[in-house]
Amino acid sequence: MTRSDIVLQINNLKTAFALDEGVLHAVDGLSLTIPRHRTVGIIGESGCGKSVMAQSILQIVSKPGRVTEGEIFLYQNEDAPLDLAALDPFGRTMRAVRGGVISMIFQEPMTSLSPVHTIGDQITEMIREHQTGDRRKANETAVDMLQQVGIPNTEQRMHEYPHQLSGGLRQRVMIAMALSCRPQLLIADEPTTALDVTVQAQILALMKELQQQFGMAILFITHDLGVIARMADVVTVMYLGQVVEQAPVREIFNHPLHPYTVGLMQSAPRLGQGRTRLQAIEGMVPAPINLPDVCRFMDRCGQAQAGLCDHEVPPLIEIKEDHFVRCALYEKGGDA
Amino acid sequence: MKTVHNGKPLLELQDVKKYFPIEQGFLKKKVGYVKAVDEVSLTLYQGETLALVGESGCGKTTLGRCILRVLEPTSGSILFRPDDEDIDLSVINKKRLRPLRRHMQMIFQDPFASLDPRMTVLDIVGEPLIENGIARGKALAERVGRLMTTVGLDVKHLNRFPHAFSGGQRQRIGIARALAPEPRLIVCDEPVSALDVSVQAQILNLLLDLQAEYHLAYLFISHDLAVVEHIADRVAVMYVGRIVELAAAPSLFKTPRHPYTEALLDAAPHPDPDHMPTGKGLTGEIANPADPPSGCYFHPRCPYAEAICKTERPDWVEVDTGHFSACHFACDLSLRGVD
Repeated sequence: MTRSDIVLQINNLKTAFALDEGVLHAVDGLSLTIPRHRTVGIIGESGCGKSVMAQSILQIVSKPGRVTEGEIFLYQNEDAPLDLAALDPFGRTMRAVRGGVISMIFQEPMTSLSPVHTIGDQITEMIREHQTGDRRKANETAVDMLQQVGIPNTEQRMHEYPHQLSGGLRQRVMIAMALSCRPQLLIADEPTTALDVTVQAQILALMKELQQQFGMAILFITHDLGVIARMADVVTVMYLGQVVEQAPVREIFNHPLHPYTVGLMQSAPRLGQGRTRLQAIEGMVPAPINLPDVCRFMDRCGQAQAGLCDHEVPPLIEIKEDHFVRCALYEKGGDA
Repeated sequence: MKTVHNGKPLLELQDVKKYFPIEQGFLKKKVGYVKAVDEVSLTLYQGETLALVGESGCGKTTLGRCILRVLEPTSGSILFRPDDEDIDLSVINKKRLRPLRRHMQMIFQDPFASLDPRMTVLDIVGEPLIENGIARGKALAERVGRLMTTVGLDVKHLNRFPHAFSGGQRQRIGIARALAPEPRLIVCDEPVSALDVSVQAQILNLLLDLQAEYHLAYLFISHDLAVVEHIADRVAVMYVGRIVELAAAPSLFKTPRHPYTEALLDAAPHPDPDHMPTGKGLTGEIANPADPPSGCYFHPRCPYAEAICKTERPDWVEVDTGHFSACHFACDLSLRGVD
């Protein structure tokens, strides 16, 4: 991959929360490359750090969280890359990036839209901030965007408030807002989790269609294996703040290697299996506070070996082309 | 499979309706009704799991609440037979209802909202035992301890408060509480949808084990068809307050007989990158139960709708043995199920 194919490059990112109980390492040494025009899927259970990672990119981690280490390079054009991690979160440059170059849609559209402003006001505010000061032009762009995301009676909807829309329509408004400034990267944090399945299918199809049209890269964060299979080109599996496996979507679903990935795949209920018991992963995700320097999945892993898994955090190694795994069982090239 | 039953069902619903009035103005004039549950008839046998599937707002939770008499149904009868006697829950008075409560329990969706943060596990799980006069004092602690082991929790944590437990563990506490008075029926309202995949599998397995051991009847309310397939014997699909299809689970998943069921199966995400939806996905969103469409409620979204669907409400017909559908073309359409 040459440099011009990349939109965002994260190197060894660490985001930590200093709590009374100790330091919580929500993201712990994460590296990730997001190519242009492609969808990178992040999958993991609650508490694995996937949302904090997304917030770190935009520098909107809530206190006491802080990016403590690492680089986040944004490649906008031929110029030198911009290191977002080094920017002032409240500075002019970061504000221009947020919404203008990288935008984000959230899980719950009701809490991320303002209840006291009309849909029209909220979209045009964004366009006027980043693109044009002209009220009329901004209005035209907003109407056009709402039509593109498939909202009927656009002119009328512009004057309505979020509570007058259904969940599916609200999420369409969020997408329209996020795409109104033609971002190069769209971060979607569980965008369909709060929606019904038939509406979810519509929104996922819409996102794919708009990606074709606008050519932006998508960082798609979810806990749902079914959604990731439908959306992602490359899948990254996170566990306790670290990447444990990464591979192209077909490769990871057909040949998962890390015991955690395998466990996730087996425990997900899928249609067509009938009334059967599921293979659950034992135990639960521990809080990422004061973790020892060993494999983080060791306690829940059926294949953990004393002497092998308990002396260091295994490195992320490329086991075959584009397939990375962080597991001591694969370190010597052997298979588990 | 438990399709053959001798004797009467544990629970029998006939034409149950729950209408919520829409009131307007200072005088609270009734201007219409939200027909949250409309003419629902169902049966549930001892030891069986009946799943109630549908999207948000379809009335599945309201129906569950009517059965437990948290809500009083507008009309219809709900026959419950914990012993040999028939009891109609829809008309029973509060005093007679109270001793029946131990036979019917509920497991809630959100384990963070459904447990009192100021009560210890012992208090939470022990409360139904004390209320129903089943155990107290030393026997109570012993019994709660046994329940904790049954649901896979550590007895040592008896005196802890809910905040000390993870989501999956809290759901286990909720299950222990529901199990405590030895009920015959448990209404499970989206019991795993707030949980992570790996924990969800643990809880589903636990529910299966408990059913086998105690011969429980579950009314399993869910929006997730993949979860339902793993636990249900029979499935009822609801749309805007009405049941549109009812069948044994394998039959419903293999050969759906209602276009809405087909659409739900098609839209469900598969953890397989080579599986793509057929693309004839539904347009529009679920109808408003306060102002439902004419004829078949599903016709504005249905890809197979014809003129008759706009004007006439379809009959409830038995297409195959035990496989019911409310669609004008239930027998004619060949719908795509799960391979």
